[in-house]
Amino acid sequence: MKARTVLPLAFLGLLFFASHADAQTSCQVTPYYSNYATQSFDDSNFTLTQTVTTDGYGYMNIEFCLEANNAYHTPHGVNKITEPNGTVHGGAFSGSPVCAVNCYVFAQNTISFQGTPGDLDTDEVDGSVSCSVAGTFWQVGGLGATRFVQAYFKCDQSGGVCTVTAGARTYHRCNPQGDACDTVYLVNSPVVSGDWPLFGLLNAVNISLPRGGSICIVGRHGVRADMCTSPDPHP
Amino acid sequence: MNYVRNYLMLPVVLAAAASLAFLPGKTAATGAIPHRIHRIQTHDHTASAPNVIDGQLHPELIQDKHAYRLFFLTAATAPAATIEDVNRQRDFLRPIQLSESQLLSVRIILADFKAQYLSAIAQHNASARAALANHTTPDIASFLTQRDNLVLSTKAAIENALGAETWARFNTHVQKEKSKMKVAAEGGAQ
Repeated sequence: MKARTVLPLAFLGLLFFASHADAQTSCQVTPYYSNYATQSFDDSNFTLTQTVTTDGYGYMNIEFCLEANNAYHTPHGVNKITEPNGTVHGGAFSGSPVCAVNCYVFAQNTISFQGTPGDLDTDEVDGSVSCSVAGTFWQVGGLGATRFVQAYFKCDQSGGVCTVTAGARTYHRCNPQGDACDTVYLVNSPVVSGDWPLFGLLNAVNISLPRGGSICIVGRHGVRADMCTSPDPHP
Repeated sequence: MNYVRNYLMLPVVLAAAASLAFLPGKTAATGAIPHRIHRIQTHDHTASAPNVIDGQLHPELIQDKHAYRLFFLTAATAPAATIEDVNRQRDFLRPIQLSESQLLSVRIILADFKAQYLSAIAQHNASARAALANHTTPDIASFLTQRDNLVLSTKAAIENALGAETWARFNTHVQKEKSKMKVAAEGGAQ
């Protein structure tokens, strides 16, 4: 009777050990990568600069993974802006091309291009890491949009004339468009003279993010305006 | 009766054992996507990364050490920076409102940071190649400590160079920039 109970249990244990051993001998990578895509704007000539950075590592216990000897990881990215007329700025890039499976990768790419006020460009940023044996195993990013704006703004007067709140002055668009440029909080003067006009014709870029929402960067080469009723030259 | 019951249990036990045998292997960290090099044909080359913190959704979950590292790497110029590099850096740091002398200090500190960071990576990768040749796993933990300490010392140097008021603006700006970052959730290997 004892043997009849013990035998199936022994068989169970054997199969469980086999499944556990499979886990130990497999080649599993846990990705620990980061990605950062950011922009700056020089409105003296409507130049947008965009930098994409990817760094990090994949962790793998290689003591039971002989296949790892022949594998290497490569960081990749996409930093691309496409104008409405099809002109493409930037594109795909790669980092260190030969790097052992447990190496630390770093890849960075910067593009700059002169935008056209009023244009709505397609913005693609992406970071990924590929394995020479298993293909792409980590990827983040997506498509966004970039609009170059030249529009009228008015400084907020709710707490007095153009007062500083939390280190910034608030400007509202005279003709709101439902994006991040409708209300902006400025720490630098938006006009060449360096002061804070009540009304201004300002230069900005609105960047729509892949997951929705947008950010607005206002330049510092705008000009003082007299009113808030005119239509925007480039909304 | 016991005799019959014991033999009825046998198929149940065997079925349970067989199902255990076909369970997938345990991954190296919870929530991670494993890739199995020796099972390429069935490997899911997914384009998503579920163990990533998206700063646009949860900036509060991105640790400062990661945010500052990514920010410093982007703001830094090469030691022999061109006029274009300097202008790009000036535009990038403009929201912090640095004076010309502060900008110069930050430029020098960040160039040194990037050089040390790249040097540390090269050193670690050389040890990773050597470890691979010996079928051992390299010591990523000590490299990560070195990397994070470099970020901390750079942060302290900039804070010291800028003074409390400007540093507060610097920190505020980096916190805002977290919304543009995607950082791996930390696991056992970190």
